[in-house]
Amino acid sequence: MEFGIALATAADSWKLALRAEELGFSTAWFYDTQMLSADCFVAMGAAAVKTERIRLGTGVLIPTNRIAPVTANALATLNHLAPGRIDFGVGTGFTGRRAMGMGAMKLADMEEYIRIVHGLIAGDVMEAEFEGRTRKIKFLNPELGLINTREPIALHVSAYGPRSRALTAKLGAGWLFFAGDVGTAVANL
Amino acid sequence: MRASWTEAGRNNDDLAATAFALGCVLTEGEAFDSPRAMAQAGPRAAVVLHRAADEAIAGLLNSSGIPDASADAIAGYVAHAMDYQPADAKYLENHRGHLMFVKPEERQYVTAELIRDTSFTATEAELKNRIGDLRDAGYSQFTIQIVPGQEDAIDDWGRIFKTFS
Repeated sequence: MEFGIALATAADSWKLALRAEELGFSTAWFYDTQMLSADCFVAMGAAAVKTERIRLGTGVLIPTNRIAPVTANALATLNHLAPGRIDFGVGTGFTGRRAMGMGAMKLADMEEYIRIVHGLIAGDVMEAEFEGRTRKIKFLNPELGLINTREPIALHVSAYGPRSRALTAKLGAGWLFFAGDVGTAVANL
Repeated sequence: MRASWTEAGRNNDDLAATAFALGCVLTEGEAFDSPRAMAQAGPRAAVVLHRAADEAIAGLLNSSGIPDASADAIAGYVAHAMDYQPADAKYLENHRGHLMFVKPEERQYVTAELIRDTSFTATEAELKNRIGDLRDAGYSQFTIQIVPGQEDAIDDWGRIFKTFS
């Protein structure tokens, strides 16, 4: 069994990520809670530079916080700094959205978001809707090595209901679950 | 989750399942609402309060449920949260400190029972048993959230981790 740490992201979360690496933890997950804590991608960038082995994941990214090409770029940028050590954890949003008075986003919209992020990182031309129009987009200069789209970026989905779990399974993603007690955690597995 | 996984034609052995938790490694005889436990695990217990208030204030789904032993404390917090200001944005105060600290005004509702029932707070020996149960059930990763200001707690969890490696 592997052990990870989760962080209410701070600008200097790299310090705790580094300590976790020293202790042998496998993953540091950074919350994407923009009204409560620091920016996850900035903090993960610092951690990517300061660590050598520990995996770094968004835990979990809320798609409505940024458009899909920005997330694809951020993940690929981190993947350049920490090749093969990046996890893309994603969910429909609890803390980050409720702190702005909103409920979860639509599951279908999250699935479409994941499709675009994955497609862009794979180097595909993707059709994505912006401002009411569907446009073709792609990374234009991946050969320059400014970002890393080669090493795999693992997908993990926070899933509590049957439809989100079906999506997790459909995508073959890792599954993230917030456990309050053993009995509930085991029953949900 | 496994039902969905196999329904999609996948092998359960390939499922990477991660359990996130908050908690506190108690010393022998230490109370569930000791200052350490309140700081490290209290924020997780408070999530139950926040979700109940979200449901009462805005009708948002409360997937946490209400532990029987803490029903009165949760109801007390919800009544308190109904007076949060501004009235058209009660969620601002409701979620302040969420998963990071226990607000002074919600401290009375974050009881020892609520911490016991909603977090991984126990002695080192008991926590090893619980995490072992998760492993045996099929979880592949146990992730503990470290609360701001309680960074030294990572060494407590590191000791537990070593027994599994």
